[in-house]
Amino acid sequence: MPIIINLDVMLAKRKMRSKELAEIIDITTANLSILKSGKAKAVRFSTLEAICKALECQPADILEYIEE
Amino acid sequence: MRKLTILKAFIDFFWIMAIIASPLILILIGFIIIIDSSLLGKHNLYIYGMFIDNFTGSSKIVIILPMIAYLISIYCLYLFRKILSHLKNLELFHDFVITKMNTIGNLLTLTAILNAIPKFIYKQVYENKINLDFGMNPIIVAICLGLFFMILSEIFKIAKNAKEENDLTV
Repeated sequence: MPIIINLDVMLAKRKMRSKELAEIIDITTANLSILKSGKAKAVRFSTLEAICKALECQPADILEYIEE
Repeated sequence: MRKLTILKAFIDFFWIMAIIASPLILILIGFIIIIDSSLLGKHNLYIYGMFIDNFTGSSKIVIILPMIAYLISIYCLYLFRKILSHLKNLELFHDFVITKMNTIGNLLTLTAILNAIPKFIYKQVYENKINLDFGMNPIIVAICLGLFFMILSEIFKIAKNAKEENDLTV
């Protein structure tokens, strides 16, 4: 998919673990793993908002469009 | 799910009855293939509402095709039982359910055609007439049932995709 999820990069920058983020934004680690691996077909605005709030970043820091 | 249990009980009963009858059908098919007209003598054979007075190629087809259709129907019943087992285990959108529903649809349409051919041949050969029937005859019902299963398979396919998307929405 041409949309790349840079969540692991942001997590590394903030020195935060996936499990911590999952607890903060109240989603399961399995779902977070789906998001990180790029298998997710859609992201809810509420989830995106929670991630941006937790990582103190913009949606563009997490999502990136790369032409195939 | 209680309705499903009731339906499965009915289907299981029909399945057992059909299994008992199927070896008899296989023996009959073999018997009809090897039999010749001399065995009938002056007697007429009355089968599926049709009088057969000789055992030529066309009359053998008239007798054998509905039997083959019956055996295919038994296979459909077997597949339907398997589908019901999956539904009972709440595996609603399993690939098996989708593919086998489509198979049942195709096979039911085939059985309808297999039942229609002998009737057509009988009218042509024995009665010398072509009959047009627009009522609710079993052939039309079987074709409709076949198409219904095909449509159901398509619906399940769409539902499976929707469920997959829902599961992969974070």
